[in-house]
Amino acid sequence: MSTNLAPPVAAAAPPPATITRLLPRLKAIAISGIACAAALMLGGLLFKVSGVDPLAAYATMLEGAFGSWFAFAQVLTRTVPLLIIAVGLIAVFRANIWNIGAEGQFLIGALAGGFVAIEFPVESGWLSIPCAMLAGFAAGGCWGAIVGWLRAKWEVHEVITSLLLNFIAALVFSYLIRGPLRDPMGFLPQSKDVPAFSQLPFIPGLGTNIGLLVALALVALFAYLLSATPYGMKIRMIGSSASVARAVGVDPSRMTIELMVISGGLAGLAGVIQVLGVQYALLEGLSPGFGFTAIMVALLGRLHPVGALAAAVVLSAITVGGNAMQITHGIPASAVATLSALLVLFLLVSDHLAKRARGVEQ
Amino acid sequence: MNIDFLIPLLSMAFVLSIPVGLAAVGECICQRTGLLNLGVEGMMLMGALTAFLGAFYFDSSWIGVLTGVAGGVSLGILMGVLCISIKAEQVVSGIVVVLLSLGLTSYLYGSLFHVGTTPPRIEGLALLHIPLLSNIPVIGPILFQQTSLVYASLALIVLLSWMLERTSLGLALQAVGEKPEAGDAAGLSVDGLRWFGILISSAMAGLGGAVLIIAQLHLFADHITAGRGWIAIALVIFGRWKPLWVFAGALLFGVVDAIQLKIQVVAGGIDSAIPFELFQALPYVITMAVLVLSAMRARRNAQPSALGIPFIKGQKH
Repeated sequence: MSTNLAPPVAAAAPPPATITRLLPRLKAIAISGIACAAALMLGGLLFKVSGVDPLAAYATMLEGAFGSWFAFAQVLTRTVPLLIIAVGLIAVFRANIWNIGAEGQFLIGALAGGFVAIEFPVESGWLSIPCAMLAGFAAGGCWGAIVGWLRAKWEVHEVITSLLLNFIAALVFSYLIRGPLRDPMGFLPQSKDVPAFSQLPFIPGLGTNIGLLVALALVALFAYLLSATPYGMKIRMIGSSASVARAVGVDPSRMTIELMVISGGLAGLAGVIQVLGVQYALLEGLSPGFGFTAIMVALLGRLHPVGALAAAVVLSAITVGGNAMQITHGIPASAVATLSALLVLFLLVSDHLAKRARGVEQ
Repeated sequence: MNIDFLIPLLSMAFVLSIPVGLAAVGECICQRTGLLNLGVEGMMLMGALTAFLGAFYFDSSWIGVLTGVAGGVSLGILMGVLCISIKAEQVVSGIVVVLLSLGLTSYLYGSLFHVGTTPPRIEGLALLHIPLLSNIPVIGPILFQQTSLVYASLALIVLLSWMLERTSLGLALQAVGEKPEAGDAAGLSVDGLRWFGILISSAMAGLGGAVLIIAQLHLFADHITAGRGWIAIALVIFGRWKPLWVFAGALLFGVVDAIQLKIQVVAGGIDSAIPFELFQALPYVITMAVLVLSAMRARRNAQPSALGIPFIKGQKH
């Protein structure tokens, strides 16, 4: 069963050029495989404890995620927000800036973009959709910029500020959809629906909206940006040493704020796509923890956009398959969050054990 | 101004400050050894769950306290293995510990108590009126009519603060946080002292979770700690890595939290026209403000020099 999940994660490494480069990559892939197998086994043990046969549970999970086109479309739909957020996180994480506020940035972006789409005066999707996306990016970017600015200016720890802002964003979101943005005709506390012309069209034959194309374009863009441009080099530099970066004329403070705008902005964009392409309204539970799952996507993808693509599909499949598992075996949905965290944990451990083993060899 | 209104408010503020205060003082000690434990939220949450389970199944608050501490420590051991034994990045390790705890606590609670039914409750502790002291006007009802768990927590906080600032063990802990190479050369075990730090921190976070459940809420729900662990880390910075100042910060947090709860009650809860979410956001907003203010006042110069840097023997940093 482990072989079904291990390869996509291992695919994090881009195609190597020579045999000498291939060998360490293969080793890394093998290590990831072992880590995934270990995580799945421990997860299986958890199911066993709750009185469910682990093999049957995993079979249901696979069937639930890949058993039908409909299920697979659900996996893809879920991949989109995770991937868009994760791509932004990869950019900041590489700079050693630990933004764990994507959840809040997602909600703020969704609010701004959703508001624009719902209240848009001209009945044209060609105008309203880009405007909504821009608004969401800008709002999420501003929410992220607070964190970047505080760190750049006074060295306030970004992990704590970004997390506290998550709670504030969630409460602002909840207040607005229960108060000023609430649909007066609706029974539930949620906004008016996004008008049909502003809803994201479906990709013909795939059963998911065009957000998927946006996500894939961002993966390609960031894979190029991070590894083949001076900007990507600058990011790595401020990540490893601010003093070295300064010595070659890179301004770490400015970069910190810029990267937080990019990361927050992409989380905000993901929020807009979720509203315009999936939920069609601002409502409670818009994000089932996308911002946190995306952290795991970025880490599992080894901070590489292509790796994140694989990791996002795997974690989405676990989630969609997990729903089936919940219905068939009564396993709580949170089993999925646990399993994902175990995956990251084992990968972290195996990476460091491998690093130490290399250190001993030398 | 009518003081009768203030007494229950401050009494509540005192109780509310204990869980976050325990976690913050523990975190403070851990950070002084140079180990940045970002897993506090996860440890507190795990402590809250295991405390609830202990108290529920054994029908005893004190067993709940013990299992709560054990729950926190279990994640402390994990954090220690990651950060001290295999030298993984401390920030990533902390985030992973929190994510794991969020999933695992929800999973365990969900498999033991089926969702949809009324959440089971545990018996709380009775209030213990301390003779004579509890009769002092104003101060008495606020400080000396609390549960025994609150007194024990307070004693523990004072004891650990004294340990850190006034004993040779405390000095050794601080030494490995400032200059681990020098400490190592002087014959101190850097890893050992950091293990001590993370175990204390996780035990205190677990205890904080236990107090939250046993002395206050009497039930468990997903992510019931609601960011208190993160606020605890912010308080360490606010208190400039001095445990008693850190606890003073926790008391301030308690007052803010009590005020926002009071406003919610007065406003009439969920159905009120007053935007109660904005008051709920108050503790987080104030924590942010306080964090920024203390950072503005004097950057990070009070921070242990080796904070966040893994110690590898024989390797220069």
